[in-house]
Amino acid sequence: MEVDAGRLLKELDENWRQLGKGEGSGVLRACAMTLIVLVREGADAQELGVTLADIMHEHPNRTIVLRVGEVGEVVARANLQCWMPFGGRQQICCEQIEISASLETLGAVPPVLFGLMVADLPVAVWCPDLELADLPELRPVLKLASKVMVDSSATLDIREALPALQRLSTESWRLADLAWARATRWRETVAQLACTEGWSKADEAEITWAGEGIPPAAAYVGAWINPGRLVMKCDTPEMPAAGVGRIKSVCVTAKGRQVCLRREGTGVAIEIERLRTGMVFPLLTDAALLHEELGVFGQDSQYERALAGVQGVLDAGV
Amino acid sequence: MSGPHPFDDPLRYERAVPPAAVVIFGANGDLTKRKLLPSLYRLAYERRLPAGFAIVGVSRTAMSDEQFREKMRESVAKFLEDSPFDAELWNEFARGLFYVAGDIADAGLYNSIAVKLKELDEARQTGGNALFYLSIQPSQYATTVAGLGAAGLNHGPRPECWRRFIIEKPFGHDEASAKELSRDLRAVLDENQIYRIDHYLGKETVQNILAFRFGNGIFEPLWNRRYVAQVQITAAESIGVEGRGAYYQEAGALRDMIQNHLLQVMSTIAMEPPAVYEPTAVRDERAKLLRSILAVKPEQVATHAVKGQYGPSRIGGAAVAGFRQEPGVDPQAQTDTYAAVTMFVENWRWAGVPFYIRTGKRLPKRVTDIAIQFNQAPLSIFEGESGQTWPNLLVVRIQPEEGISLRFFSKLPGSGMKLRPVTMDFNYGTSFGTRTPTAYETLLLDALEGDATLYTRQDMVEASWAAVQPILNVWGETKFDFPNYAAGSWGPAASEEMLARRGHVWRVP
Repeated sequence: MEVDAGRLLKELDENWRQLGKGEGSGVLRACAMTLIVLVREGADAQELGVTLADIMHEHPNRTIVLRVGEVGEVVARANLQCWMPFGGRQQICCEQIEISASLETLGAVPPVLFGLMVADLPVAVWCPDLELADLPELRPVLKLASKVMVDSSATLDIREALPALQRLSTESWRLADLAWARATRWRETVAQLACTEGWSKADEAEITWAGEGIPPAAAYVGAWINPGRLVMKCDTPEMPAAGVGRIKSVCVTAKGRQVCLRREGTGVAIEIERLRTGMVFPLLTDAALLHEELGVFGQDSQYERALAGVQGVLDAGV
Repeated sequence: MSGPHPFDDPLRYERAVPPAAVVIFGANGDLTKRKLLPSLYRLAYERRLPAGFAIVGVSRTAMSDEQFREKMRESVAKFLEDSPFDAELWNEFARGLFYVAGDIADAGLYNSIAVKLKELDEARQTGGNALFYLSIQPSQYATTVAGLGAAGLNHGPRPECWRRFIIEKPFGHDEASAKELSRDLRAVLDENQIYRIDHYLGKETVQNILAFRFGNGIFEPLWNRRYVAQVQITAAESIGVEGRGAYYQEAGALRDMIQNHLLQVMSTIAMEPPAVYEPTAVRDERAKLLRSILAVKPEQVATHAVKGQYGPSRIGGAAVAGFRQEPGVDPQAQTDTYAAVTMFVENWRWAGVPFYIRTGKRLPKRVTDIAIQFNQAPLSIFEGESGQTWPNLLVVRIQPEEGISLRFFSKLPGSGMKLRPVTMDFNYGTSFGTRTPTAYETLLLDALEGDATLYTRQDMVEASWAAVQPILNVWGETKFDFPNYAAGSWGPAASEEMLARRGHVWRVP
């Protein structure tokens, strides 16, 4: 069946009308951007649905989920995602459109997407699968966006992910990697300590992690600290529980004093000489990471510098 | 170090807070239990507090550190708003809680605090910085600050250390006492060490007024006497004095709400754009606006201000006591439980535009909002529209639902050009589903960071007292026939009459 953007928008309008009739106190239509989500055909629909529903609250958007399969025609359907805020009187609804296409038929999709994008608002693409994002067939879709978000942590080793990241970072959009957002709380704590301790350049740093392969987040942190001497090593081959992140510790020495952050369960212990305190890092869910990235729409010079420095970290030998 | 720190990432990090100790006078009081400790705990939960951090509670009651921690644990678990209580995090947080008992009038207390701060500087690495929160009776401010000064606590142990002092309202009970309080504080402290807290300014929506006005290009051109007909500021409470009768009968609505909170809100709505968003620039503009408020002459008070007091009534079938029947209240009390004033701002932007401000207890609902009513369209060309009084209205809702709505005319579906007023809503809570920080979280964090933008400066305090003092003077000399409004109504009839003189009516919020 031919997919027509006008027909899909009409379907959405009809949904709004039906919803308006049934709701006594009205429905609030919320939209701050178009979010195009690129996933493979077999991606867990339920898990994806939960993530999208989660981010909808803070970043209401028209979501267009594009499922890419091996074979098949382009098909599409539209619906509304609604929720009632706690203690609220009005339902809030956002639009969601699902399109399925194969690699052969992908070429027919961008014109449909053009017609479906919300006028005058930003467009972001989220493609958790780095390999999928790097497909040449998807370049026209990515070009629609001002921001493209990938997640290199699924590749387990930055060495496998780096070429694709480098290619994706030279295009017209701003590239974001959720693996960088996984490192934010570590970086923030190190930055606070650096500020408190009064140093801006580290003499030495040691970063450890869990699981085989160099986690992209750990490589980013190493490149970001950019110390005189960097030690990076695996602490344990076992992978951590979901949402905890693979970085186990970050220790930095500057001006003769060492500060260490060590993962302890869901918390992180901070050691500065004799003082030992602790803090809780939030769970790293896709929704939380996307929330952070969707809050950064301009140039992200810290990330750009870190990405540029990762090769240097690898060249120095890990 | 000059320029931004190379590790800084303001796009993603929260603002950094320097190490510090927070010393709370009145640690056994209601504000500490209900607001201050829950807010500090919440900041710890959000990882906003630095690694080197401690809290020292000070009050008369003898208590060990452990007893204080247990007491605060109960309070935090009970009064934490929209947040889970994490026992593991609490244990970590509680390790930084300490207690010093003593009498504010006793010099020994301040020496004990000095010893404790020195210990914490070492043991908790608080960097020699201290934020003193005076959650005590205003009559004790001068004694406490003098005691702190005598013990050398108004300055840090090293030149780079800071000492800041948060003072709760009321800042005096009239213009003269506000100046006297300032003299007492300034004898020991520099103005830039004094943080006068007005929690209204810490509310997200009040801050959002600045974003709305100065972050958008389309509203500011309309924000003046050419387009605005009137402004109404309402702060209504449905409850009565709730056991605070003895305090409230000395204060009254004009002193308790309008002189501070609502004039600060008015200054935010009406101020000129600051050159930069920076404490001095923003506060200069607020102060300038407050100084531009036209002082009411004594002979104008009867037409520019309305004093009210609620009487007994039945609401929803239940009997509600009048103010004079409340426990602890003088049966002949002349207290204003309702106050409405008309104010004019004498500057080029606002000359001639009335700002109507009202506040009261036992009104029909709890609501705080600001309504900017624009001039009517100059000509009505559509059928059925003539005689309709629905001018464009921009409403900034502060509580209970934070948001902004704009009322305008729309065509009624069907044939013909019949118009109906409709509203376009922006709801703060639902547009951003995330939890917004409480006013105390925002303000405590600002003080720790040394950002006084949302704190009141002495010239602002004096200017707002000057705006209400003529009204207080006349009311103090007049005997009112109270009660003059029933609990559950929108206030005395005289309040409607005050607006009717200019052809205006109070809107129903």
